Amino acid sequence: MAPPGLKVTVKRWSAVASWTWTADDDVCGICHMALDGCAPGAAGPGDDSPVVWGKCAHNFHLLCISTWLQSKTSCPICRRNWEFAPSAPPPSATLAEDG
Amino acid sequence: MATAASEAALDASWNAVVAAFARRTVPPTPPRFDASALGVVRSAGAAELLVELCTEQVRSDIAERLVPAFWQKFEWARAGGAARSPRRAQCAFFAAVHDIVGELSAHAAALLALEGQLLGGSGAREGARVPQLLLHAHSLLLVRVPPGLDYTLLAVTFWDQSFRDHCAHLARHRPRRAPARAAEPCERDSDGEESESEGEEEEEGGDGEEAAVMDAPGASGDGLRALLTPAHVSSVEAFAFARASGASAHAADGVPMEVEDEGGSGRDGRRSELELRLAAFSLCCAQLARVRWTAFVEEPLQLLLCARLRAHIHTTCSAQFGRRQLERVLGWLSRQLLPWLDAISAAADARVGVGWAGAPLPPPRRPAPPSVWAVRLTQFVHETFGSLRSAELFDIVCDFPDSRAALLDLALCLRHTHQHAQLAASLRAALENRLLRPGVATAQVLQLYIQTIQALHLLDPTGLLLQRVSAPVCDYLQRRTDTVHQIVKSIIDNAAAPELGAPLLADGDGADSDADGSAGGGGRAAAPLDAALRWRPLAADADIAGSAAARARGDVLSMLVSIYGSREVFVSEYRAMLADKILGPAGARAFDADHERKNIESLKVRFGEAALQQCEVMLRDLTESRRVGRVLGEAAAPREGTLDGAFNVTVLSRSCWPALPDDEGLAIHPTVERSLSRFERLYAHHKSPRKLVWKRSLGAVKLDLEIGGVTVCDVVCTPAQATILLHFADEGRWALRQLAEKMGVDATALRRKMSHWLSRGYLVEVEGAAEATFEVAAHLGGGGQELAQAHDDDDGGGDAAGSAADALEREKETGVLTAFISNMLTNLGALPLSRIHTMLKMFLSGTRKYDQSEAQLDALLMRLVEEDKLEFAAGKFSLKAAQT
Ligand SMILES: [Zn+2]
Ligand SMILES: [Zn+2]
Repeated sequence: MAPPGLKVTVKRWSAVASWTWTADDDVCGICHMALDGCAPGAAGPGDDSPVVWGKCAHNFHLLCISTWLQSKTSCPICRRNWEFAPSAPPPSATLAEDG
Repeated sequence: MATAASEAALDASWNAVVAAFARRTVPPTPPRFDASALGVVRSAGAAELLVELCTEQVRSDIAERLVPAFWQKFEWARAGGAARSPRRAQCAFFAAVHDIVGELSAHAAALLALEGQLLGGSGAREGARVPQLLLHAHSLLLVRVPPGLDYTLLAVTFWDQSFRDHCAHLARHRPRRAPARAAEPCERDSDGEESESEGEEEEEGGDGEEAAVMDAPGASGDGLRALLTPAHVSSVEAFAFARASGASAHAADGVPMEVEDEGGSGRDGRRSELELRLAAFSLCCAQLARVRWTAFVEEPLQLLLCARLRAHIHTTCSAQFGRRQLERVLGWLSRQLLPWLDAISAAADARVGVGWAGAPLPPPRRPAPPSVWAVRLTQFVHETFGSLRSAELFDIVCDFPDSRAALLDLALCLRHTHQHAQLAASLRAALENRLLRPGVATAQVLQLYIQTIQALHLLDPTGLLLQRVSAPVCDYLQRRTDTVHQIVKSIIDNAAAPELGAPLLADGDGADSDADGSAGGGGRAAAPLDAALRWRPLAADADIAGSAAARARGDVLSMLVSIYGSREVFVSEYRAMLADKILGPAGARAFDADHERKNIESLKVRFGEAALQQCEVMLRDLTESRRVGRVLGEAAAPREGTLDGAFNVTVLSRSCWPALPDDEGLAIHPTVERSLSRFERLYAHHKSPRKLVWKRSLGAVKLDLEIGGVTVCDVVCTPAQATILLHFADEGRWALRQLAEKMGVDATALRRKMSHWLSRGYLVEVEGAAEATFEVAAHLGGGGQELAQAHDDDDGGGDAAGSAADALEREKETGVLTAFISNMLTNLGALPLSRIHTMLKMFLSGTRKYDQSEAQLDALLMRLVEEDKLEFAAGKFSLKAAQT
């Protein structure tokens, strides 16, 4: 086979991605908006609409569950007593796996 | 015997009276009837019969002698002669009227004397015969107009010449002001070439010259003395003398007939030509009035007045939108036309006149008094001016706000004429024909629509007019796909200038009156659409019309927005534009966030804070991505086989961006995929509990490529296109199907993406292969060093590309046409639309066939006018003032 006649040098590669939460649910069970979207009344998604995990593994916008917990103590989905999980489950892949 | 004797006596008396009656003279001297002869006739009871007989004689004299003699004087004027020698027509008219009226008044005087002396106040129809005769003569005149003679033209010519004399007289007696810039604009009569005053030197010579020409008796053989018989001339001179000496008794006379030296009349007793003509005219008017024939000439007079006014309006006002014109026209009417009518009226009242002394004719029928004329003509001015401006309204709108003056004039006319419906219909048609065409850019349509809104608001603050006009424009704008884009673009294009950020949609009063962009005028060029968008009607205006004003109170932007029913489309359009900018070929790195933040601020002012929230998130995504990129870049150690420093990622907050493509399947080249997954892991680690979802088809790549020793630098393309090249760099030849499999896309889509490189000649299809196969070109074609500005032509945009190509083709065609037109105008000067159209049809044939309609051509020409390449004045197009 003849040597390839084409040589390509990438000078810049601008990639695009969107972010989402490492959550099992797509939408908040309370406001029914996307979890990675904007909670009602929040200024924006992401840091302005943080998401929390319960020990029952359900997740909601922090704003939404806080409002909920003002009158209730259970998870709006599974009715179990609501307890905050300390943090999200660890990401499925770790740095160490890299080649 | 006694009977026979008395019969003979009656015969003799009868004959004596008839003979006396027939012995009329011109000028008339009341006939002397033998009293005893009258007595015999009266006692025989034949008085009525005799008067009837004499009346019949007069009647037949009128029919057989006077009327033919009248028309005999115009024998030369048949077949258009009157138009060719107006002076002669004027003199002939005067002479004809002079003679027939002289004869008629002699008849009348005789008849009145006979009636008075014979019937002695006992006759049943005494006093009715003379008016009947005059009327009879009048009708007979009109019935017997010789074939081939245009009486109306003749009479109009007579009035027209007299009017010129009048103007020359006015010009001569107008006080000379030292500086040309006088308080009252000096206007000249005549053929409409009124000096355009203001700042312009008034040609002092103009009037004087004309007067001089008129004053040179017989210089060109058309002096009054040359054209009239000596008898007529002396009659006129006597009349002029009588008027001059009795001037004080007739002070009402409209034309100040100064006895002062006018062409040397004072010294040698000869009156100047002009003076004579004026006198002849007055005499003629007096005579016409005396025989109650004003109706005979009033219709031509009205024709002339209207023609004069129309010509004056069209020549001085058409396409002159920069200054108020209506008042000048009305001024002209009252300074030039009405005094003349006064003069006519005064002449009709004049009691002096050779040939009239002692003729006890019935009181003259006066022509319509000047006040009636004034009302009639003022209305005519309003109508004519209104129609002119209505027809020009589209151009006026195009010129707005420089054409404010024209609109204010038109508004004034509308108040008198109520031509609103006509105006709305014609503007609507003009908009449809000239604006709503495929060749006109949406931005232009918008601009003009906004100007329409503003212009019509001046005409009709209630907004009803606008309502009738705007529907087709709104429908059309809605059908144009890029309208919203253009509106948003114009808002943000001007966002850089901070002073444009004035509130637009703030509810409540329009007290910030500087928002009335139209008031300043002339600001149009500086900040086109955006400035116009900020315009809103003055609150004061809007209040006039009560509830209907609500329509008008809204500003232009909300009117435009109302086309779409909501403001959301505008915000999402901006969102799409913003997304394109950030993710476009230039890439996020080159994106000027500060500039865009200003845009967002200015949009916030217009659409509200909340509506722009998503756009703010988009910008925040960008800055956050840069920050994260820096942090992660530092965290990651350089590694073989990855892109490292050349690689950057923009992370989007999905919910705030326009719908992002779902491109899970697409596989980027493994080198890059490694960079992606490395970044993905770093991100997940640093930004837990967040993770990334790649949008592999989005983004931009810049690369250098080398084919057969030739290097092409800075090629910008999409990630998919870059991936294709990278694969061909690995392997020089790929079967389409194989590569499609490798990249996770279907073959058709891949071929489309590859066409980007095929069209540039970097890749070529392998001939004669069993299946579609491509390979790297052996070498680059002629344009090797071309700096290819690559665009993503595979996703979406097919329509846009198509229409862009069409537009290009159109532009090329128009270019040829434009060149041809400007050549033509160079050679032929100014031409009207129809001429240009005909010439193009005649001269452009074959491959460059000209197949546009006249309306299309009109649109093109108007565009060239807008582009300042052509000028349009008085219905003709010409090259822009010979750029010397
Ligand atoms: Zn929620
Ligand atoms: Zn739960």
